[in-house]
Amino acid sequence: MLMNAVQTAAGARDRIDPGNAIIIERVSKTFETRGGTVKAIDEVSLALRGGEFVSIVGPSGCGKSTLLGIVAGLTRPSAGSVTIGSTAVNGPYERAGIVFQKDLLMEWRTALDNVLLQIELRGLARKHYVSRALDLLAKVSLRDFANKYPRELSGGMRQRVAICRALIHDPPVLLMDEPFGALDALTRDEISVDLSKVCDETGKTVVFITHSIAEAVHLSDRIIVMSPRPATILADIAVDLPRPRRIEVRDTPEFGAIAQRVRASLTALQPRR
Amino acid sequence: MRALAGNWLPSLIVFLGIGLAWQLATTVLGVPKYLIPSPESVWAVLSKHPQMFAANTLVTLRELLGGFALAVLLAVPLALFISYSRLFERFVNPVIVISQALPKVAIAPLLLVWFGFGEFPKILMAALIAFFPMLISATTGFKGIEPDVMSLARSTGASGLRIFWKIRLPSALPAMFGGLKLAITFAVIGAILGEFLSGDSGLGYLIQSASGAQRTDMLFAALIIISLVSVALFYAVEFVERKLIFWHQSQIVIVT
Ligand SMILES: Nc1ncnc2c1ncn2[C@@H]1O[C@H](COP(=O)(O)OP(=O)(O)O)[C@@H](O)[C@H]1O
Ligand SMILES: [Mg+2]
Repeated sequence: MLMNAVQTAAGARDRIDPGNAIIIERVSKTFETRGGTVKAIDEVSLALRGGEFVSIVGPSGCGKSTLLGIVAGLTRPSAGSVTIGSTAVNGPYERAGIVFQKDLLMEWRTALDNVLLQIELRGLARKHYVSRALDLLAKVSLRDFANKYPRELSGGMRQRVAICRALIHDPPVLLMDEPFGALDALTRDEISVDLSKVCDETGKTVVFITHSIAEAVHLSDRIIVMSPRPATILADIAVDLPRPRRIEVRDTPEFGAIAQRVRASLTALQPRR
Repeated sequence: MRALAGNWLPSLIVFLGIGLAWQLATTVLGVPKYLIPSPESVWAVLSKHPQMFAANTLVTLRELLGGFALAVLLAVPLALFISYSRLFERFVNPVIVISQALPKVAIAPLLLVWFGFGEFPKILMAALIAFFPMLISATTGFKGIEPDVMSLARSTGASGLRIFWKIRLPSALPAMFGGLKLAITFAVIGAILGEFLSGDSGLGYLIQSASGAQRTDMLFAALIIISLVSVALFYAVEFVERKLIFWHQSQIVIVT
């Protein structure tokens, strides 16, 4: 069953689906604050092929979350444009699934009901999605916790539920903002394996913000390194490791070489004082 | 079961303790009857006029529940507007704070002039006092929602109304119940206060006329009923709270 899933994964990945390609064109963002204007993003252009898994790494406060918000249509860019598939993003982009650093589960809903919140908010018929929700929970080893409340779950379990909630409506685009940032190292590894399992199968375009170079290399097709604020793209590193990638891939020299390149471009930009 | 005992037992002990101290004050210390009537004489007056007490309690109950409901129905939407708009908040905040700073006793006569001597001005009085804690707690509740939760909700394209029912309202409930518990006890005070100043029924009126007639037994009886009503209403709200927000931190001890 699992092997099967992983096999199809490789196939899905080769498919280039123009329906969910993301084109970011000369996007800038300036915030007006009491202390003056803050330029968060400076003319960033980036093209993601449909089905591509792209990680974004960069120093804290450089504008990563802002860029993700702009892609999601939740934040209006000061200049530039975002196009997903053939749609210009001019407001909340509804065909996306979003995962934040905090799981943002509703404490009054069980794990299953939290996953289905996505469906209810979209006004879709809940009953058509229950079995799919249970399947998703099973895929992240939470089938037995479907009826537990968030407070009965560990941090890692809660974030898995949040991932299921982002996937239940089968969005062609998945946007993740440091989704594992609050988890311990061991849980991070487990959950990133789960994530690659879920994503590999579906050919989603994924934008994944992380501080972990290992995570970025493990999961991505490409890694974008951003400069300190205002964010510009410093490096665009392809990760041509074969898929499916199990956790052991992290011990290979190829993996080490790519991680090394990412780290080098990150450290090259340490502010000198 | 244990939770129940845990809730009621301390209250019961306190009540029994007060009763005992009262009994001792009247018998052992020999405080004169016209200052502190004995428990028996209060019981006597209660059991002699049960209908009269019941009827007046009902009046007060009606007024305070009306006021409570009015306060909640006004405060919750207002809190929602405040949480949506910083600008709106800046406009209404001074008005709300000033209305709160004015002594309610001073407003009461005005309400009488405007609305006469029936139950309505008492309902308004109760609402006026219950309104503020309700507004503050509901505003805190609505504002306490994580911005990212709202981002998540917006990304689904859900209408504001649906987001309200599925996310905003339930998120705000724990904070709101703090306000509800304050509001219900404040509403009791408001209704009694209104009855003090005018009218011909209700527990406040009973106290007023008993005081005029130096009937401390009657006065004590009314006071006891008022405290019982307050306590019962408080626990009623708490009961609903337990049922409704069993999932919240503050409730976990009771659930497990
Ligand atoms: N709504 C906002 N108003 C003002 N400044 C903001 C806002 N959002 C982000 N910023 C500023 O923009 C910069 C980039 O923030 P962010 O995108 O969250 O960075 P990152 O996710 O890379 O850590 C920061 O300096 C932050 O203070
Ligand atoms: Mg961020």
